[in-house]
Amino acid sequence: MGTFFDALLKLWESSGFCQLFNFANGGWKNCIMIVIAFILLYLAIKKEFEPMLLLPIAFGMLLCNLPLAGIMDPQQNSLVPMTAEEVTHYLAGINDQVYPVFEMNGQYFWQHFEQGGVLWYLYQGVKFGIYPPLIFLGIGCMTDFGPLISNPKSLLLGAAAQLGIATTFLGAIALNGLGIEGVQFSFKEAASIGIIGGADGPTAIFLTSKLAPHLLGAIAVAAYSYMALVPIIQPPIMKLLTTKKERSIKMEQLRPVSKTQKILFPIFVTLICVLLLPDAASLVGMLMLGNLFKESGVVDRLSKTAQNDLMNIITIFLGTTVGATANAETFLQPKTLLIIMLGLLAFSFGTAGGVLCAKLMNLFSKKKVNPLIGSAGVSAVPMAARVSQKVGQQENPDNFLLMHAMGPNVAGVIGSAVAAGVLLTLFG
Amino acid sequence: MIFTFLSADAVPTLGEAGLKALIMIVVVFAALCVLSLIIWLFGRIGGSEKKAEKPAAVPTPAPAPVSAAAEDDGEVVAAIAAAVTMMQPDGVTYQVKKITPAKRSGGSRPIRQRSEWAAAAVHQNTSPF
Repeated sequence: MGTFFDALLKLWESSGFCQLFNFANGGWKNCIMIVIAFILLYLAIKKEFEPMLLLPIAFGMLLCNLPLAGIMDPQQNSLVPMTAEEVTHYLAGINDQVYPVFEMNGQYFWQHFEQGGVLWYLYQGVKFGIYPPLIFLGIGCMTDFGPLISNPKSLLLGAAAQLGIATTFLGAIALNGLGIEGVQFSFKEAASIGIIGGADGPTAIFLTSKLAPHLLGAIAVAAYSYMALVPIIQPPIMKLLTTKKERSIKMEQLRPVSKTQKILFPIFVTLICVLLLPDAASLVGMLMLGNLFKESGVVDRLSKTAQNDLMNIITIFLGTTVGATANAETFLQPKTLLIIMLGLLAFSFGTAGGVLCAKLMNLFSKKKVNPLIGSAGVSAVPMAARVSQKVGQQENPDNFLLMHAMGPNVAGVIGSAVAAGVLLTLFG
Repeated sequence: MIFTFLSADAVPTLGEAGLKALIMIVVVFAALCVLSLIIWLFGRIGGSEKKAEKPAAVPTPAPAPVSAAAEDDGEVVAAIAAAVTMMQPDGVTYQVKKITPAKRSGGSRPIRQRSEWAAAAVHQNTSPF
């Protein structure tokens, strides 16, 4: 009977439950992370907050916080010196070990190899900056730059909305002065937090994986959560910074854009951006390659694959592995809470920057711009443009701002990629 | 002075951060301004080409008559009528009296209108294995 209970006890001790409920050994941290994963799953499934990414992120978070699962454990390679007897056997051609042999300066070693978790292997695509540019390829295939080409001034609104990145970067550095214990942001960390203001998930992940990979989980969760909350965050700021008269401005119909212009656009954007900022090549280049696939009309198969199958596969890999970086040790830090707060600041300032830039343009331009379209400069395609349309129609039901707002919206994608390139150049 | 009150030995100062943030914003604006200028030039060149083409195209043939099929396409009419209705405030009713196809705007020839040889080449290179 005793043996039976001993076996049961041994089974219990080797289980994840034992580790999870071993609060003295830090199991409570995993419990908190699992609760956070449940909350994110609820938001993704029930509230449909950016479910395409929040769901895999939340599930990745859940997986990596289950003790002993080892799904995110790195691959282990080590060299173990061979004993004299083993060397003799090896030289005599008797090698009954499964490990390969490594010889260095006359010494012999066993090359021990421990396989990593499946998500660790998939994470290499994030670590080496492969997934975000592939996502950009798909985004490029789905994006119509027509409204932007039709109204080139939209690019300025897209640039102004990057103000959120700059202010959040400064905000993170300023927090160092508060002397909060365990909160000291380096330039690299501050730049990674600032890029949340770009409201562009792949860009945020790309830059963070290069500059501050330990903050990847927190920054991805903050970026995607706030992107989902754009319809709640932006309208009060837009209304606060504009008058009723400004919100009612009707804009002229966009001029038609020829096919040639649409084809030349990605080529010229690539040339200028990549020559100016080589570090932005992977993001801008892939975005524009995707767009050229679409606009050229000669590679429909590639375009369809990039915007559907490839994009979906990469989204699964990216979301799950980014979520799996949010383990208890790295996520449950005071910094995470501050990153979440700074992310809100980033979105708010980005929105304000776009709206104020549109107001500034109205001072010098004969053709008036509805300042509401400025808020769409914070990427978050097409949610931010829809918000501009909705708020505009609240003032004037006959006002259709959606296509006008798509200009700054897609300009924001280019702007945030360029901003990421600058930050990578400055701090990479 | 105001930017250095937070500085510490190993901690980045707000002054440095401000400078870097300024550089970032300036570069982003510069890059997008250049792009904006180039796109604007596209538009100007495209526009001037159209204007130059216009005098030569004075004796344009009469627009092709709208086919009865296009005019009588019930589904198209229903879709347009629904869109018009959706765009108007509640309580206002409209009647769509006539729908004619829009004239093709000027500019370059659409890519899809390629010669038979070009179409055959594209087909050969893009058909499934």
